[in-house]
Amino acid sequence: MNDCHSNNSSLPVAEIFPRKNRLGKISIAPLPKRAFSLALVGNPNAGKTTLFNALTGLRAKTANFPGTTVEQRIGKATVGGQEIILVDLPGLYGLESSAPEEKLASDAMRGRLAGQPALDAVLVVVDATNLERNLFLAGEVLELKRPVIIALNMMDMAERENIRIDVEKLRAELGCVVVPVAARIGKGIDELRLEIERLAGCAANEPAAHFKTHCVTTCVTCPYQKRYEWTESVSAKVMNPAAARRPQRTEKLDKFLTHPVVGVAVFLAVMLAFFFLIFWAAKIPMNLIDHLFATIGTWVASQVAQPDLQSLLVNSVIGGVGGILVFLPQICILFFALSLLEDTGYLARAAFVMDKIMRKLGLPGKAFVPLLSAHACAIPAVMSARVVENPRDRLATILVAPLMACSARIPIYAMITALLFPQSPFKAALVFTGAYATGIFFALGMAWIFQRTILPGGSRPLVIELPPYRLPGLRTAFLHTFDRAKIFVEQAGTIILLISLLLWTLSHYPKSSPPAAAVVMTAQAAQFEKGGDKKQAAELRATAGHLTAQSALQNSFAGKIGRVIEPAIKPLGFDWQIGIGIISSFAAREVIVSTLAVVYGVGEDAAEQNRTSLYDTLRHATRNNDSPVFTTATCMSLLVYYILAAQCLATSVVVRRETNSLKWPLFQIFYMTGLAYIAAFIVYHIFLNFA
Amino acid sequence: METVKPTIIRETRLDELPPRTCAVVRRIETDGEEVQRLKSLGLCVGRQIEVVKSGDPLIVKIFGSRIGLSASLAAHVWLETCAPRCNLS
Repeated sequence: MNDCHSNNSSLPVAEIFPRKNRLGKISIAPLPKRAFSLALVGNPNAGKTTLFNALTGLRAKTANFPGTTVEQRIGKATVGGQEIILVDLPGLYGLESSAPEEKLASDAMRGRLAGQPALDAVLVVVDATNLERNLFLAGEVLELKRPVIIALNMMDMAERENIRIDVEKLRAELGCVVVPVAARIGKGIDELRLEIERLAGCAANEPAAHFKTHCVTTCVTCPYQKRYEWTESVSAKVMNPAAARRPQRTEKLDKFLTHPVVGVAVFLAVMLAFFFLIFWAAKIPMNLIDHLFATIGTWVASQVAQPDLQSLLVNSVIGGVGGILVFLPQICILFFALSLLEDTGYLARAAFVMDKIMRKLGLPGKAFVPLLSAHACAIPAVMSARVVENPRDRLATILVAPLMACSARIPIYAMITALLFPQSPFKAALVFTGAYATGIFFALGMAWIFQRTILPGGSRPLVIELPPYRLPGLRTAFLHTFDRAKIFVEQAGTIILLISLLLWTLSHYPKSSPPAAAVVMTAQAAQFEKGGDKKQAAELRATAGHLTAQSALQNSFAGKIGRVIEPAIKPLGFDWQIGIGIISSFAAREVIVSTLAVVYGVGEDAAEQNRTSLYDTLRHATRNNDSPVFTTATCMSLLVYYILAAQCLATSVVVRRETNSLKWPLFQIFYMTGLAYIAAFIVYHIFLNFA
Repeated sequence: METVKPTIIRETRLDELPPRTCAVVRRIETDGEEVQRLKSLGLCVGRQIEVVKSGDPLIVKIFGSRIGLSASLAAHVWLETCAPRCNLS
């Protein structure tokens, strides 16, 4: 018994549970104790994740398989006082699959993955309501002669559907431990823990002699056929015949939900509600976060007198952290809703009904979800592109999603429409609609082009399991949401903060002395104050402040870069001041509004509180030759530029994570900016010459 | 194993199989990732299946589970309708 742990497939905890240090590199902490490791495998929809969560709870983290974008969840659980490691592998239907996620899961389980050691034992999660199909994978795993426990999950559902399974008989048939559980309601988990403990106690002594080989070597025609004959015979032996009669609920619901017309209508209604949640409902917590950070900023400003430090803390650090956290409501709401949709089984139907329509655009049905979400924010949209299984289709979706008009573009559209049509709400609405339509048109068009150029291979035909409808698990949804939010803050947060710091430096340095006019005004203000006219003094001080800010920005690195790039943006009808706006809004497009407010001397506050004064100033802004800056042609060009340009580094950071490469986010920035440049150029010249 | 006489074998393509007709898969013409997935989902030679909803995409019932697939893929799956529910007229 002593050599239970001498089995060389046992591993130090740290090797399978890599920790990230502050630099984001994986470091291996030397832990002396060897922990027993257990792989969770099972069909998609077999409730594998629910069972994993029931065993580990919050003690889990998501990590990519080395060098891929495929995720596995690694968690710790305590069984019988000892800590073991659980690895939730991607769902798979069979071990011989060639789909990337399933192949990785299969390889990881068998210890065939470079850099990822073999796991001590396997926990196969089997859906009791679909025994025949689920036993296929169980049979394959059993033949590997590894220590195996089978968790017969969803026993509560099976009972409800009048399926009775003789667990003892199934144990005898399979020759391995079978534990009936209902992970959703937490039933059978303690018994499962006991069995895991027993297995962990002596994994090496019990080499899996539990299974008779069936057919793999003898099958000449179709190995699947033989194995399915076996699963059918086993389930016929252990299940009551009543189980053949399936409940009609799913079929009845599917009559509507997969109908080509009704199904699409229901889908659109569901998506509308979904969009409402991430677009409008998320605004409440977003405003709260904004408000909270503004309050913190004001408080810090009152505590720190030194102006440079004050600006650094308030604008860069606090503003930067706020700028990251403000994305969380949308991310959380989206993933919570998506998890519920997936758990009920509806997402599979959505993919099914939308397949034919989306296929015409070269994208699978599920791509609709991220493309719609992108109208609220590209970040959760790119993160949710994981619902698209095919890597190529997923990449196409990620590449085009940020072209959709996200909510950060609204202040820019509002500014430009106000400049173009201050008197005509109808025309303004038309411009808004046109801006949204342009985004959709280019997104779909670019997807079409990418599929024919850089992403060849053609769209794969649809094959999707339509699982029975079930009540969703709130616990799973909460944990999933928490996980996604954590990934965003951990992986995107630091980079966004660094970039926010960099941009702050660019627009605050080198420092310049306040302009003469501002100095005079401040002196005058002091005079007025002495004379008791506080109102006049305050006004003068404010104007002096605006002038100082304007001159500081114009003389900063950002201002200099604006001048350097002026020849490049001149063909679009932009001057160097708009150039400053483009530079400073490179990380977050909406920043252009407040930058223009500073550049044109209205003060940053005008962008928030007094839009009319900002618009008036912009309308009357002139170039060197006294012609107005914001002509119709320049406004249209600026509008088109901001519809298409990739001015959002948070998105790029998330794209980097989701594609696991630097190449794709860089390509995305390049193509979107190029597209924006060309389109703005064309639009500018059309309006210049014909309007 | 084969109990059906060769004379009454009628092969139908899956995308042309009417709903609620049970049939046995006889051969699958192509191979590739999708076909492998179909097979691991239970749609492989020798299995008895039933079309629940025809059209594109269509829904097939195999063992208790339901699978949605493109008609273009279904066109590569050849079946033999089976007694007693089959319609051979």
